[in-house]
Amino acid sequence: MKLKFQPEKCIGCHLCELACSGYKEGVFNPALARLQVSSKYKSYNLVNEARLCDRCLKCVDACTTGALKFDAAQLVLNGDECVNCGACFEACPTGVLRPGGQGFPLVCDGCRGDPYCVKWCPHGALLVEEAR
Amino acid sequence: MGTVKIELRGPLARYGTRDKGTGRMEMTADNGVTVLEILNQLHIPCHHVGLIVVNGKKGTMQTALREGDHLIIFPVVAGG
Amino acid sequence: MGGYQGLVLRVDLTNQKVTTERLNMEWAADYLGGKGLGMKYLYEEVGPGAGALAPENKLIFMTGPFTGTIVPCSGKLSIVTKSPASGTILDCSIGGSAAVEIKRAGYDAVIIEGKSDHPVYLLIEDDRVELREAKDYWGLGCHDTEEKFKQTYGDDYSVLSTGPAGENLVTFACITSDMYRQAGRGGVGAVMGSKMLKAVVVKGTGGVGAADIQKLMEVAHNAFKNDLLTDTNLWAYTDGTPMIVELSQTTGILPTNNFQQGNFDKFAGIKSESVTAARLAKKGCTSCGLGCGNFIKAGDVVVEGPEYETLSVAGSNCGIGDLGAIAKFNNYCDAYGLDSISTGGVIAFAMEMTEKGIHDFGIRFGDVEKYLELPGLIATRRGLGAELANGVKKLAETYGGREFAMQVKGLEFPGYDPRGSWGMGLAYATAPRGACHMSAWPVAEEAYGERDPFTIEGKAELVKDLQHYNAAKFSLILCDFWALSFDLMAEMLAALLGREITAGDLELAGERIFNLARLFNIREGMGAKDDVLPERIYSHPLPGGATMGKTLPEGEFKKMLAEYYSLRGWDENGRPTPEKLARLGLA
Repeated sequence: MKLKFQPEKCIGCHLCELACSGYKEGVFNPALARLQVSSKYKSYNLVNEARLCDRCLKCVDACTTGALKFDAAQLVLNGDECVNCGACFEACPTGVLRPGGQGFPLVCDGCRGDPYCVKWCPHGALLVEEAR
Repeated sequence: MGTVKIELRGPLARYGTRDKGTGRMEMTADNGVTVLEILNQLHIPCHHVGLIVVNGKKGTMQTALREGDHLIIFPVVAGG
Repeated sequence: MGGYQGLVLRVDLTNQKVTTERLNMEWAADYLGGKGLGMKYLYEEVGPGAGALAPENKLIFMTGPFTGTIVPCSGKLSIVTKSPASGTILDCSIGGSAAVEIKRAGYDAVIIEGKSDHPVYLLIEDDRVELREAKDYWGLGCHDTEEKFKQTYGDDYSVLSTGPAGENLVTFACITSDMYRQAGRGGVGAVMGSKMLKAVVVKGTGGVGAADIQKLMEVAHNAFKNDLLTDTNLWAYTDGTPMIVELSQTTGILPTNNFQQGNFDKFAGIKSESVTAARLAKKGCTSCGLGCGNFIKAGDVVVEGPEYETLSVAGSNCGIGDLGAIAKFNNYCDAYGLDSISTGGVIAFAMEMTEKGIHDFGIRFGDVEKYLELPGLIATRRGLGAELANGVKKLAETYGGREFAMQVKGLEFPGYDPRGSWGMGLAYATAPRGACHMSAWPVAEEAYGERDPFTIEGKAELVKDLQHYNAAKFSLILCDFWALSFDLMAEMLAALLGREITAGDLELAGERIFNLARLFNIREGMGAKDDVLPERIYSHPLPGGATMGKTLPEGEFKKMLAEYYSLRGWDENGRPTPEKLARLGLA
């Protein structure tokens, strides 16, 4: 599966990020979410943008220790093998992959195909798209 | 039998399936049909219904409609 | 600890000093947050007789326990101070993202005190907090201020700013954030201007915890699906507040030509369909699931708005039915930092004064050209604006027209004519900050609902209960547009804080908060003598539509007020009795 963002349907509520961090990290903090959505007035225009993991798997290729894997159609991090080298962040073309509190990558595992961010999106701006 | 003009406002427009979601429609109904009967026919839950307007005036669930009447249904609103 | 951060940021502008202190958790338990907790701090820290625009007044930005959590519609910020318009306690809320940024920076509240001797802005980046020189921003409109700060610091910073109106101490100056969101009423912007604080620029990177986060998310998600996104609340998304124009027009309470009429012949131009047709996008506050904001393009103007209050009080009430003109006016008010309700009210008053030949302000109903010049003139106190900047009450004291000076306690009327919704008259008369639609909104049940709008029967109790409901809700803080029950609020708060909280606890907190506001005003010398409505409401019958021939007779109003005092446990002067205070823990 893959997430899809429809900017014209986004109202900028950030419930997706709050849900993601709440379920995955046990705290409400958009900085720890596995997706980033921005809805701001810029030069008198409303600009809605999102960074989502599109399963390009460049992070998996870049991983120096094999800690990041694509297994059973989902991204998985084995924390024991991660050495915080940062190669995955640099390889991520969208910048959606970020370090969490301990420096480990905040990996979007797609919530087993039923993502919380989508469940909390009020007006259908976030969708699940089947891919691969 | 007669025709009444109906407008469903705000989120209630989605109950107007035969009008592509604009919430505007004409319905054929017996003379004397009540607003409540119209709501039931359209499957609109009463607890979401706020102001009822019949021919520009405030009506009630029991207001009886006649040929050519114009009914507008608003949702409940909170805050201002 | 869940919900609260437990920390208050205190900014002493006189000494340019920033300190932090623990949040008073006993007060937080009794007053919840937002409106209530802000009022408690103000009550304790700003004594009677303090000048609203003097250094001794304080400006309190207060978040609530739900701020920054996943609880929907919890993104608003309360701003509490003493009002320069009414001399009363004032709480005013603002949407957007600023509340969440303050909370994520680690603070429940920011308390501004004293006065700077030069323009400054407050920069908050988590625990790095600084006062900085603002001379390059002073004089700029709110939109330009925000754009400039975002160019300097980045798009992800939230800005709360005051415009030229606040700098020039116009008593109905507002505070703006996220370009088009305002804390409009009562002059919060003037208090900010009096302290020479141009803006608060804030970015937080932290999070907000919950005692039982799994439970909170479960309850909140169920509420989100089954209680929030329903046909009862989604009008805010499909239409937003412009939907109310048609409700008011139909029920004869749409203020028209300074409340001379209750419906408007050009209303088609300002009804919801017109706004929706001009819409580019919908916009909500952080954590909102509804998205009431309409970002529109009308003529050469882009603006988020106009809201119902602007369409009515600054539209039909000024005899203006052209959406393009009102959108432009709205944009000017936002940019100059003016409350569009009071600005519309004062212009409408000047129009009637001119038409009646009582005093020639040179502006008449429907005069779009002059109407569009006025926000700039008022904000900078130039020409006719110098007079109008004093507000309706002072204008009437100087030039007459007191019987149609549509204000209570110095605050101009919002967009509902109480002659067609008698409980609303009681709400205006008894709201702590003056004529206010946010302390109770009985029109939903009277004019727009099934209750008879033209009777006082049951209205005292209705208004009292709504006042408690809103006081609790705006303290937590939840948005007005989510019609949720006390039970649901209590269930979510219990999961957040990890202790038992009942609907009854919240209702009692609401009553406590409402009474504390009353005590503040009593300490300022106010009482029953101030709980009055303009003569027009008592004795000028409306001329047409659903409210044809209607007034709210003074005798009926007085009876309703007496019943209200009695139900509240207040004496005939509107003072809470010692027994009532003891029961509320206010003795």
